[in-house]
Amino acid sequence: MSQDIHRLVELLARDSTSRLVAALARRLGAARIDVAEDAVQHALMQALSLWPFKGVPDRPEAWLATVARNRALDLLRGETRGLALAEELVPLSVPPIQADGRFDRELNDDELALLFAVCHPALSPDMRVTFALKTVCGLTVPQIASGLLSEPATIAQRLARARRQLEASGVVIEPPPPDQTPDRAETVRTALYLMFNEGYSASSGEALTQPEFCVEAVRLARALARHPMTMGPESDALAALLALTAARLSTREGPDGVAQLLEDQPREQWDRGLIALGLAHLERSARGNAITVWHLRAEIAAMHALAPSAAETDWARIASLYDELGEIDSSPMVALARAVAVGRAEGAEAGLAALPEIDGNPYCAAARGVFLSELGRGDEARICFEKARTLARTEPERRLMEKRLTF
Amino acid sequence: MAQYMLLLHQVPNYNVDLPREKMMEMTKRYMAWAEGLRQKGKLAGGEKLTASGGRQLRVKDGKTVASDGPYAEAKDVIGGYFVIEAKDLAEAEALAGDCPHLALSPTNWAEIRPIEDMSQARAAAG
Repeated sequence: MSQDIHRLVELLARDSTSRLVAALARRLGAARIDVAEDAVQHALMQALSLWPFKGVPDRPEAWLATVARNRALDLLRGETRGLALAEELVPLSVPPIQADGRFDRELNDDELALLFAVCHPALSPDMRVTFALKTVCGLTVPQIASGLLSEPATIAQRLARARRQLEASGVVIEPPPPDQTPDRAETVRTALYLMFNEGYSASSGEALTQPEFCVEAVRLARALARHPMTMGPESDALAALLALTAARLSTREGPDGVAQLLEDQPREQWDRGLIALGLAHLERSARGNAITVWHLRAEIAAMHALAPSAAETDWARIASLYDELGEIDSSPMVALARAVAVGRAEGAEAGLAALPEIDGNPYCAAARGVFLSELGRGDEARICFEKARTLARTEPERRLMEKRLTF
Repeated sequence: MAQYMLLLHQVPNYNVDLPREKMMEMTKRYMAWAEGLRQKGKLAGGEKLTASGGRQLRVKDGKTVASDGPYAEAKDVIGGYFVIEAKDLAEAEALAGDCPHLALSPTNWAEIRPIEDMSQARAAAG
């Protein structure tokens, strides 16, 4: 009983409302995304406060849709054009709730159009991520602020700026024309990758991860890979990468609140279901000849997911995948990851030589410390771990460096 | 089987500023409780009352005088009610005792009032 209620409320609050927001926003236009969100939020709050007394209506989604539409009409009272649009919303079609798993829910056309709009190139990358989390994923401003380690007011301002920018750029909430779809889809994939990273390694604070962001990024990447408009090897490769990486999410922090390196993670606790999902996408990503950054990253993630232990990992192969990746993506973080793989494949000396200089980066300092200590240069290693501890962005990472220093 | 009115007293709008997650938690508990009663045939009805927009009526010097609440400013209002079916007051009290309303805020409280049973009077009147 209470399980059913729990599930129903979760489904309504997440799935039904995000579909409703997309349906309303697409019809009301980019300038009125906030009206769509407010109207749906109002409907949800009404439902939450009334249903205990009245019982759950027979068609909960239709109930929400009607209340949201009426609220939108109220909100647009003073605005002729908006009101005309809102009046066309009768009857607003409401997709029924699907009893899908949390990574399985597909995007309908409204939701995909909205995802394209909030990841529009007219917006900055951080706006895209924030906007998608709010409007497509339906997270609240406080949730987003705590995940992005920002103040709710800052997030609210960023969202308001993003809406104004969409309006000023004349963006419509429609899928892009076919000739622009590949480029626009790549922008969406990059935004989902950033969203995932925000969740996977929080950039400061007490918590190491924001699983909510990762779950949403995996879900959307999978949906992108399955929607006829965006399906293709690149989308499958991104879905593979995110699912395979998300499989390790719960082991990134040990029970003692200390960050756990890949080699120390209890691999039996990795999520087998997500690994299977990731591998299925990886297989589909091999159609065609394209090798994108997503393919390379996904293959690296798969090698880790399938290796029985850190010691039994094919580090030489991983290092060469990073070589390829470095040719497309010359970011210092790729060079750092490559150096770690080289160090594992060929020894600490080679790893040390391959390490880039990244000022202010705790992982770089920590990797240097590890190689130095493996070479028996304990004093120099200590200096690096000290530095990494000072630079550490989250408490679990700081604790890990402290642990290193006590050896 | 007798009917009991469960009146839910609260500070007006005590829950308006709750974040959505809190609100969802609250609703889940509330709905689980109400649906539980409903399925056992112990819930005859219920309504939520709004915190504003009500009017109070009194007759003064033979004239009906209406005034605004004040509801939103009041310290204690009835936020809603349920009608519970129970065999006696003890059962009604046990059923109402789990109502999440009580645990949601220290200022919340509830009142159980037996609904006057007219069936015996009717039977006597024949």
